Formats: sequence, C-alpha cells, structure tokens
Amino acid sequence: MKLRSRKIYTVILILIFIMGCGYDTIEEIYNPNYTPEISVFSIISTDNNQEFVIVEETIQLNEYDEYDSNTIIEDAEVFIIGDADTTQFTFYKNSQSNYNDYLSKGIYLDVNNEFLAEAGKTYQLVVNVPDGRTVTGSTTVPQIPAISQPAHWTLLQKETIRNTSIQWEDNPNTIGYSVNFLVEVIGSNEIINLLPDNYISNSPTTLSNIDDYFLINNFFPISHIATIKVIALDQNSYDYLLKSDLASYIGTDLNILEGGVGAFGSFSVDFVKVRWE
Amino acid sequence: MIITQRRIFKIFFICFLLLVWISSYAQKPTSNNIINGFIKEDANGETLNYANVYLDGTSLGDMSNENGYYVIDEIPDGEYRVKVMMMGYLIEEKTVNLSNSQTLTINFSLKEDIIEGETIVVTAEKERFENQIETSKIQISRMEIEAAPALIEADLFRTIQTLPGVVTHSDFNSALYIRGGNPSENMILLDDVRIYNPYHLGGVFSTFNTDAIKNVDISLGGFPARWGNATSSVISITNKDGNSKEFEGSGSVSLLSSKIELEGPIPNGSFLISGRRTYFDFIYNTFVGSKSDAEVPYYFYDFHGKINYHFSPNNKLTLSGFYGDDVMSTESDREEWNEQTQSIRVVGTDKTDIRFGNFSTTLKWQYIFNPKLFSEFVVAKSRFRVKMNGDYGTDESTDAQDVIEDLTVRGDLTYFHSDNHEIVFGFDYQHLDFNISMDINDTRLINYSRNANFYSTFLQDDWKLSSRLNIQTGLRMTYYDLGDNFRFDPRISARYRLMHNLNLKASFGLYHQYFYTFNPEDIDFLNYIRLIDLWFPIDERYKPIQAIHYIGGIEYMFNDDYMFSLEGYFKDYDHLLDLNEIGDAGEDDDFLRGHGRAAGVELMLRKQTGDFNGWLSYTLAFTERTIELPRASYFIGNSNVNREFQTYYPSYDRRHSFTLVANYQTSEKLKLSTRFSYASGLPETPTIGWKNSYTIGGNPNDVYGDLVPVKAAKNSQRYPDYMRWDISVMHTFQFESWSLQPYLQIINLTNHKNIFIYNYDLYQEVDASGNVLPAKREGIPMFPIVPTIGANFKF
Repeated sequence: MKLRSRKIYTVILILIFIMGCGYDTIEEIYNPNYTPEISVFSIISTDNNQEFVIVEETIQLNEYDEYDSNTIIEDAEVFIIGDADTTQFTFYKNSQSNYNDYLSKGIYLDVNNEFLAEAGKTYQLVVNVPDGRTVTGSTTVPQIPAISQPAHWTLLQKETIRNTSIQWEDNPNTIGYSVNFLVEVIGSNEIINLLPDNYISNSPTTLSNIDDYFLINNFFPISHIATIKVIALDQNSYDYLLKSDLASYIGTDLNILEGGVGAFGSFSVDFVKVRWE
Repeated sequence: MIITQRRIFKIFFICFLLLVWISSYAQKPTSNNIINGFIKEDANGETLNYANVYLDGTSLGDMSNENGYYVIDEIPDGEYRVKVMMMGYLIEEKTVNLSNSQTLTINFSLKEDIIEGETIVVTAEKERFENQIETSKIQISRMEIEAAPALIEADLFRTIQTLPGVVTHSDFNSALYIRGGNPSENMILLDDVRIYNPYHLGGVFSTFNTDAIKNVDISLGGFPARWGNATSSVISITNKDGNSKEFEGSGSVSLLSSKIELEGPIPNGSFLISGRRTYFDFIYNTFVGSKSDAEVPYYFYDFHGKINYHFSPNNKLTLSGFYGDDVMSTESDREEWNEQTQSIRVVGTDKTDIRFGNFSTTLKWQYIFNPKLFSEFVVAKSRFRVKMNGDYGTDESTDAQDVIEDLTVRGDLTYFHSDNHEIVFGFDYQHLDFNISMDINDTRLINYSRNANFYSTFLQDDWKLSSRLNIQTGLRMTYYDLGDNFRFDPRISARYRLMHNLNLKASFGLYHQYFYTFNPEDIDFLNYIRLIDLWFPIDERYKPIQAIHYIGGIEYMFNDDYMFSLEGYFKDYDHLLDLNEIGDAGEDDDFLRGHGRAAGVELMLRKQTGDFNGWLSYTLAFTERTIELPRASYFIGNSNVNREFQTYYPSYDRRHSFTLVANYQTSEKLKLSTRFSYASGLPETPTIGWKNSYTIGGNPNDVYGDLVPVKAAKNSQRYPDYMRWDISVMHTFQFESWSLQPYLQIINLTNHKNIFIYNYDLYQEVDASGNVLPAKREGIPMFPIVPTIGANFKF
C-alpha cells in the first residue's frame, strides 16, 4: 500500500511540473463587427443663445488616435422642424477657435441666429447624411419657469445671501429645474456660476449652496450685479446633463434618438437680475 | 387609520397566544401512550437529526428533528421494541411496556457502525427520502465539505457551488447565485442568526470555519413558512455542540491559515471553541518583506464559540458566538520637500486601516413544555461592518463606515398532534439598523441612517394524508414599518410516493424580501469581486422584492444509497431593484425598478456511503431580468417621465453547468478526491467602439467632447466555457493518542485558462510601417494550476 501511495504522489508531482505555473494573460485579435453610428447632439432653448447641432460618427476601437481622430460629418442636411417652420442648420468650421472645441472641429449652426425655441412647442430634429442614414429626435420645450421671487434688482446682502429664497412657477411638462447664480468677472467677460453645476432643485429653494468665497473674499473683482437663472429641463436634456461620468465610462448611455446616438433636448429659462453688496 | 408599532405588536402577540391556546387545547389528555426523547451520538453526545425511530412490528414511528428530538404518540397499551436506525450507526433498540396513557422518555445513544476495512460515511439520505416533504432541500456533512478539493483549504461555499442550481461566478468569488437569485437573496444562518457578509478576502473564501460545522441544510427554493425575508434560498449552518463525553481537539495547518478547535464536557453540558488566522502576512513580511520594501498588510481571522447547559433533559440553554474580521492596515512615511536642504525629509506617518467583518451572538433556549410541544426561543444579534480610517497628517483624515445591525427575537414551537400530523408555529421580530457614513477632515460628507422593524408570525402544518401522500402547508404574515406594509406569504409542498423508492414532489410559495444589496453589473470590479456588501432597507418609496416559486420533481433511490433527483423550477420576480448608475441628482432616483424570471432543470446523482462516494450534477438554467434603463430623471412620483426598460441576462446567467465530485478511500489511510466542473460562459457587455460624450456651456464655442467607450447591448456576449479539474490526496497517520492527515491538493490540474474578465485595448496601435493594427483584447485568467499542501491533526 505504501508503494501505491508513493506512486500516486509521484505521478501528481510530475503532473505539476509538466503543467507549470504560468499565469499569462490571453491576448487575442478582437473584431466586434461594429458599424460606426451617427452621433448627434443638440439642446435647444428659449434663451437667446445661438443654437447648434453636432453631427459626427462614432469610431471603431482601433481608429482612436488621440491627436487625429476626425469624426465630424461635414456634408449632412440638418433641420429643426417646428409646427409650421423649418430651420436648416449650416456646417461651420473655424480653425482659429479654441483647440478641440466643436467650432474648430466643425459644427452645424443656425448661422443667422433666427431660430428661437418657443416654450410649449414640439420640435423635431432631422439629420440626413449622404450615405442615406437618417437620425431623428423630438423634444417639447418646457414652459417658462416664471420667477416670482426675488424681484428684479433686489439688493442682497452677502452675509445673508444664503437665506435668499427663490421661487418660480411650476409647470407640468418639466422634469427638473436647474438654478444658476451667475456673476461676471470684471475685465475678462467671463461669467461664473456660484451654485454647483447642475444644481437641481424644486421651487421654492434658497441659495444655501452658494459658493460665497468669491463674494466674501475680494481676490479678484466680480460684478455686483448677478443673474439668477432658473432653467426648466425636458427629460432628454435632464438625463443627458445629469448623467454621471461613471455612466459614460461604463457605457450606460441614453437611447434618446432614432437611428443614432446622442441627444436632442430642450430647456426654457427665466431670470432676474439682482444686486449684492 | 394610523397603525402604530405598539398596535402591530399587540396584533402579533394576540395571534401568537391564539396559536399557543389552540395547541394547548388540542393536547388535552387522551388515553394514548407517548414515547419521546433525543437521539445522540454515543461517542460525543452530539444530537443526531433525521434518525428513524419506530416501534417494531407497527406502523408507528418518527424521524428525529434538527435538534435530535422525536416523539411517538397514540401508542396503544402493550409491550414494544423501540428501534432507532440511521445509516452509519448500529441499530439501537429497547423494550418498553406501556399502559394507562403513560408518557415515557427514552434517549438513545447510537454507536458508529465500524466494520473493519470499510469506511463508514454517516448519512441520513435514506431517512430524508422517506420522511422529507420539502422540495429542493439538500444536506451536506462536514465530511463532504472537507473531502472536496478546494483552494488551500476546505470551504463550505465552494462545496455548495458544486450542487445543481448553484452558479459559480468565478474562482475569486465564493458568493452563491442560486436559481436565478443574486447572493443577497439567500438567507445564510449560522446557529440561527443571519450573517450578512459571509466572505473573507473579497469573496475568495467563505467565512465559516469548517472544523466547527456539524451540518448544513440547504433549501434551494420552495422553503416553508418558517423562513421569511429571503426570495431565493435558505442555508442553515449548525455548529457542533461540543463533545459532552470527553475533551478532544483538532486543527489544521495550511498555506493560508492555521485552525484549532477544542471541545469538551462541562457540568451538565459541553463547550466548543475554534479559531483560525491567516499568516501569509507574517511569513511574507518576515522572510521576504525584510529583504525588500514590499509587505503584505492583510490578514483575516475568525472565532466560533458555543456553550450548552442542560438545566434538565427538557430544558437546555445554548450560547454561541462568531467573530471574524478582515484587516488591511498600512503605514508609510509621509515625505515633504525641504527647500533649505533641497532634499526629501520624513515628517510623519500616513496610516490606513480597513476592517470588515461579522459579529454574531445567539442565546437559544430549548424547552419541552410537554412531550408533544417542543419549543425553541432565540435572541440573536448580528452585525456586519466595514470601517475605514485614514490618518494623513494634520487636518487630513478619512473615516468611513458601513454597518448593518440585526437584533432578532424568535420563537418556534412544534406541536406533534399525531404521528401523521405536526404543526409548527412561531413568531419572529427583527430590528435592523443601517448606517453608512463618511467623514473627510472631520466634515461629514455621507450620512445615511435608517432602521426597520419586522414583525412576523407563521403557521406550518405537516400532514400525512395517506401512506403515499404528505402535504405541508403554511402561511407567513409579515409587517414591516417602512411603508406600513403587510405581506401574506402562502407556501405549500406535497410529496407523493409513487413507489417505495420513487417520490414525486412539488411546491409553490410566495416570498418577500425587505432589504437588499446592490452590486452594479456594469461596474466590473464590483460585480466580480464581492469585497463588501452594502445593505439597504427597501423603504417607503419601493415595494418589497417578491418572488413566486413553482417547483416540481422526482426522487429515485436505488441500491439503498444512490439517489437520483430531477427538479424543474420557475421563479417569477417582481419589484426588483437595481442601482441607478446615472442617478446622481438626489435621493429620489437611487434605484431602478423591474421584474424578472428564472427557470431551470436540475439533475443530481448522489452516493453518500461506501468507499466511493460523491455526486454528479447538471443544471440547465435561464435567468432574465427586465429593469428600467438608467436615467437621472427616474425619481419617484414624476409622472411626466417616460420610463423605458431593458431585458437582459444578468451576469450570473449560466446556461449549462456540469459538476462531478468524487471521493475514493483506497485504504484506511489513503483518500483521493476529485472535482471536475464544466460550464458554459457567463454574459458580459463588450466594448465595441468609441464615441464622444458632450459637455456644454451656453454657446457653440463652449462645447467639448470626451471619447468614451461604446458598449454593446447589456450582457450580449458570453465569456468562453469554464473548465476546472481539482484533485486532492489525503494520507492518515494514526498514532497512539492522535492522528495526522497531511494532504496535497492541486487546483486547476490542467491549467485551463478560464477567462475572468476581458480588458479591451482601446487605443490605436500601428506597426513599424505605420499600418493600423487590428484591435485586441486581453483575457485575464482565473486561477492557474495551484498546488497546495497542508495537514489536519486530531487529538
């Protein structure tokens, strides 16, 4: 019996040595057969900004070049269609613009700045690319969140600014409201928001989350006139603006458009100007 | 009407008193004789469950319950031979004379049936086959756990993973995915108290020390009304009471840890203590770390203890406890650049201390009011906590913790109405505290605190309607105070004996669960490694998770020790919850809601006795979940939101699983064991391309894109098939007063490269000529071939 046991042990030990203890990873060629999709992005608003539409293609895994990934589609037809009017957006590219922004890469603009979204109206985005593919999306612009408090040109004291109440008219077509407290940095034309980005709140709210560091410390001059903006978001813009970075990384994305990826949403805005000291 | 906690408590208390009164009324004296008592093992005094006790020459008899208690009643006057049979033990018998409604208590001590040259494996499979009504119930003995090859040392959960219906997620994860349920849907009980995170080392090992285990009952589904607050399974682990006859000890030494167990008698009782600690940190830091800067800052330990005290044969008190912790503690020099000397200087020590572990203690009072009314009352406390402290110098510190604390008060009473009829009823009160907090530099950033109270009562009726048909019906009623919810869970099981060795079984049950853990599927690290479990109560905003179990099957026993079983199941889930990974807007959008279903067929052929024993299992399973797509806007009460759902196979949906576990005792001294698993691949979500994710300001010159991966449809691809073959050789050296069992185990003998996770190569590569190379992905394998050695000893 002892001999039999020894034989078994010997066989096992030999097997171990034959197999070794390699712990290599397994590298393989990977072809997911992915057909690039059209990626479209546009958020329209009742604000007086110039509206734009980004139209580009997603890329294959091995096409990503950090310095030279040209994904923009330059020859698409882009329309935003309202109840009775259609606005065509035109491709525009300004190579003098900031590196890596979409003006430098190419973007579709309402060149004459004629388009202004109206609250309560439904708009359809249609993007036709030359190979025959079409991307469509739809949004209904929320009603204006009329601000009832504070009144225009109310004087706020910086010591008590956090207690300032902001109140606006709720409307049923809005998914959520974002509140901004915007001040201009004197001499630079830069506007900064002293409330957290994507600060979502319901009416009434206060400025309790304001970053009053700039107000209290005079490190650099900011205007003593501020704009309190209440932004009423539709579901598409709400979901897109508030998705976490983690969600982008893990690929849990939104399926808002037909025929492509990206988003088409809208928001409406009301604002009041206040003074502070 | 506002229902207060006090009112609820009163309702439950009245229900409970009513049940006691009914049973008291039903036990009015009759002219029948009664025999009752306990069945114990002669060598150590441990109680034996599932032993057959019967009166020879009659149809009267009983099977000992999980406490070793039996009762036979309605015995006419006369002389009888009382026999006790259990596989692996010699038959015990006593002759008794009964008359005038006599009640006689007879305790039996069974001696092991030792036949020279043969190995006796104690099993109650045959007894369970003849008496057990419930479907999907499997018992595993300590011997089976210890025999199965496992990484470095025996592990309970690794053995359970070889059973049909149980999915193994990976070599690094011992969590149990049972019949389409995730691990938090299992109720894991250690000596009647729920354990909330039964893992060490991020799930590589289970937390239970196998040396202390007496037996393990596993209900894969269709469990009776006695158990609630779980939608998938019940795994009840009972530790040994301790040897009440003589002092003994055992232990083991492996590459991972050392274990020691001591047990022995005390006046009117027994005790058992066991402990384990890993020492890889000692070995590495002493012999390797001293020669390099590297060190292993990690270890774990656990401790079990149990004391039994018998006030009288009918009155027993048991105190048991479990304490275990994983500890990761690091210290490093805090360095600072000194401008004057133009050099780095050490200005202090940075310390990080992470601990996670379970603590539980149970006080159990077992009392026999009269031979026909057996009772158990339990007061138990269980806590799982994760604690993380960091000290990084002046004004820099972190302090985070996640704690779930459970206080349970439970009473189970069994009324033996007749040999054919048994009623189990009881109550269950559970108070749970959930606390999650995080402080950075003494500023509280996260502060989540909730508590919940559960009041349950149940009634369960086991009735033998004929010699062929047994039916178990039950109803569990639960009130929980988050959301003022009552739930009524009906359960029914039936067994029909078609032939003496062929049973047909079926069961149906409604199950609810009121707290849950979330391991987001899309975050690979959290999905594949169960480092910690964050438990949350299902609060007023959501409904408790619900599952309906439908189970049917056959059991066929042949040659007295081969058991073949075939079971099919269907589980219908509703009110499932998942983490909303996009929900960063506030509390209202934390979770996504949905439903799901699971179905499968399981085959098992098992042999528990003889020199050659083991089992072979095959499972065909389908699991599907339909859950809301992650959205920031899914906060509760927002009727404007357009809700969309996606249906997918969860990451633990393994279609085919085949396992062979075999043990062969070649001689008294040498034992060979093997385990072979082959399974189809688990789902994963592949990365297929790149796209831009946009951040916007107010104007076109304020829009930027960040490239992020494009993922295919959720879990639309599967990893390659999984295969692993393990072997184990154990040799016993018997000395005068002690024995030694060295063993050698080899995990993944064929060094099969099972893919744990894919790492997608996301960047463009070009060759020397500038040509773009095809995309690649890298499969990170699980365990390679791993030989380990160790030794068990007993004195």
